[in-house]
Amino acid sequence: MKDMVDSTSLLPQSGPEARGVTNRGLRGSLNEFFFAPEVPYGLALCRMVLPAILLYVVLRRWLHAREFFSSDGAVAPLADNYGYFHMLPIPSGTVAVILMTLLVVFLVTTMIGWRTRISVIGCLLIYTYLNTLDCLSTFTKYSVIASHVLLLLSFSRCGSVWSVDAWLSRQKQPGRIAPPEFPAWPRRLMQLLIGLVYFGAAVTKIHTPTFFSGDQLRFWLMTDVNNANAIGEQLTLYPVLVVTMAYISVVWEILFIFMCWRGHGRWITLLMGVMFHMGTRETLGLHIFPLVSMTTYLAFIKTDDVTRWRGWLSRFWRSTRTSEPRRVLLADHWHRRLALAFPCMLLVVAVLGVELEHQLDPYGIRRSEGPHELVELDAATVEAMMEGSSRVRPKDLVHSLEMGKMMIGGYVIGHKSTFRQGERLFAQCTLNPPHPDLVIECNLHDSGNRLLDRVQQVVPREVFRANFLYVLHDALVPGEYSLVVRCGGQEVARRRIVLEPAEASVERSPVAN
Amino acid sequence: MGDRQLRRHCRLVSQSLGESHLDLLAVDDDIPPTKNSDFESGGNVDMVANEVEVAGLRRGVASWLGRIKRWAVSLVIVGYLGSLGYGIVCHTLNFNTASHPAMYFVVWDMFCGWSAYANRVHIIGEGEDNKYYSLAPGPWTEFTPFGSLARHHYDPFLNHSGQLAKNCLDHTSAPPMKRILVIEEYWAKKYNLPDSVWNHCSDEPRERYSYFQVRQILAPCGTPVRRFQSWLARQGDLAISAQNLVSQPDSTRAGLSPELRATMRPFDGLRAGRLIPMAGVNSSSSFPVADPERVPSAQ
Repeated sequence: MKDMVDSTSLLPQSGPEARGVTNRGLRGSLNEFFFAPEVPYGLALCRMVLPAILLYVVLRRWLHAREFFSSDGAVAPLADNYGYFHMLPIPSGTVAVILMTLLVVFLVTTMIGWRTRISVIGCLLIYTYLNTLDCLSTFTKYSVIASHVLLLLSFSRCGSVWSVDAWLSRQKQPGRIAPPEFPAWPRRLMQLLIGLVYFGAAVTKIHTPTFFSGDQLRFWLMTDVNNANAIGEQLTLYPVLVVTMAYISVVWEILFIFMCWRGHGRWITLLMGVMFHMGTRETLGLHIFPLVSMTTYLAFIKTDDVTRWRGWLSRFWRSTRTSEPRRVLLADHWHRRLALAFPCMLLVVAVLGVELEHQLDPYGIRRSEGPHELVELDAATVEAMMEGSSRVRPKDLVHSLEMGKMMIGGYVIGHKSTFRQGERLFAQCTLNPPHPDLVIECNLHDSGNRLLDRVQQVVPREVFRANFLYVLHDALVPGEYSLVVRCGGQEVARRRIVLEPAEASVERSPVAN
Repeated sequence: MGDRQLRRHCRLVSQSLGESHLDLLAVDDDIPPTKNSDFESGGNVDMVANEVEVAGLRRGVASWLGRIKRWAVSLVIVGYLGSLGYGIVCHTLNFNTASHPAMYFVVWDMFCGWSAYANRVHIIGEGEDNKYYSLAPGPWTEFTPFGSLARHHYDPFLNHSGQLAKNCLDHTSAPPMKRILVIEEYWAKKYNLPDSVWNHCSDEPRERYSYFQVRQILAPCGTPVRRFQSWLARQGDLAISAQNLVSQPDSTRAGLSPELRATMRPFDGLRAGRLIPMAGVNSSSSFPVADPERVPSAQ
């Protein structure tokens, strides 16, 4: 295992003097920050959790390796989108299957920590390479974050604890009790990575003109390109809440990198992060991105934390063993065999993977009934599609007509359709961008659809909401009315309202009798 | 002389030099450095001196290697943080963000803005048998990468439609194709809302209306013959344009070769959707046969 010795393990191991922090200053602080020795528990957890998540992603795509990542399929290289054609070589179908199979094996061996460094480097290279060949259905921002994490894990000694490698190492050195310590810099870089990811995400939101008005977030909540997001769709009814969450999320994203290091700030920031990511799962239908992002939080676990948690656990779970179990050491020849088993396993699994994929026949070209036939489309439907549509219908320019009793943050709240005489009715007509400069009418009609009041306003192209205020005065008799929105000479929205007598008049009515 | 004695000599030498790098040696050899053991002299003094010299050399090499490794680690840290910082700066100043695919790894633009319209992509092949066929997703797969949508819907720039269509044709018993159409469909996202939310916002029944736009015409080999602006971008142009825009798709603009115009004839100055007979082509199709040989020169 000498070749596996971390280069940084040659650094001074302990003590402030050895760490070179005798003369405190920026250099000393940086030395302490990056090179303080520690047991890499956090990175070991990262090493175990991330491959499990990626395994789910990779296994779903394994059968489609030929289609997504090979010249025998429809690759979609990321580089093409940037104008760098043929930047990366595209493997043949069999090679793509071999790579995908090896990736599965490397993810498993990384998870259990067997030949950890080789496995992590294998994961990093194959995962990143294959991802960049399919920017349609594989490569996303979460895969970029995963690649970064794998890169940092490949620098670290994450396999030195809680792993097969650690177990084998103990077999070689039975006298060693304390877990090995290594410099903290890979863990620090992972912490800085997620902090900078959030910071960049905040910059994006600040750049987005209609983010803080909540308009774009509302449309995001209605998007169905990700998984189901029923809570997000319900949230569109509460735009003030959405705007509030938008502000909180940006503030948290900016503050994260400053507050995540120590004390209560660390736990509060991380807890907010977990809530934020779980929130994106429910409201936006993102499933993998939150898991990958939260995996980086494991880098915030320090050696002291694990020691403390072990202390807590030992209070509740006391071992019944009275003495240390007798350790049976592996003979040297078993170590040699295990070392040989790793490449042999890779070879065997790769061959089996190719054979299995051949048998499964993903394109179905070796079926007894022959290759698949194309699905025929109705000619009338296709020709209707080819007609095209030049202008958007006025009806589709309007997103909604909401009525309520007050306005906060530019949005109507207290939605209702039953009002009392004397109350104020706020009507808000939300428009779908892009729209031209419009004249929007919001008219009051009675139950016989007779026009009672006509209000109109010009809505410039950069404005997405038109607000109307109606004071439902006593001249309007109780009964049913309608608010009718007209645009481009057409009725585009109608809401029914019920007007009830004023509360005071209800109370006075007995007196009047 | 044993290894432990040798180490003790090294320690003495290193102490005399005012350095303490023996722990580096210890780590290299996987043996913890000894601190409190007695010196046991014995053997030839010259041999001891030689061994001390060798040990000193080893220590020097190890120290030198350790220093290089330390520098290498520092360079990795600076390089990594520098690249992340460069991405943040470029993103903040909107500079060079799309200059190279590697920028995707350091620019964190997870919220790029979402429109008020949902869209889908239809990749349709027009066969020589005058029938239309769906070319995406392939008939062999029901894979949906991130939700319930097939893979081809996640191609916003339509850079890969040709490859998707070609792959489908290559792996099916497809009839010969005249051409391939990439058609975009849009509808207002309000129609995506569930009934509970819809009823809260509207008293009217939900009537989803889709807008279609031909975005690309591809030769049967998947090579693009022509691209058109997206329906949504065109709506943006229409919203701010003081003059009538050229009808789209349209091939009557100057600069297009007659060959390319011929491939676009159905769109020439006609009302959309009206079918015209193809002169010289024995087909009732709305599109004449594309000539794949001419496609590269037409681009």
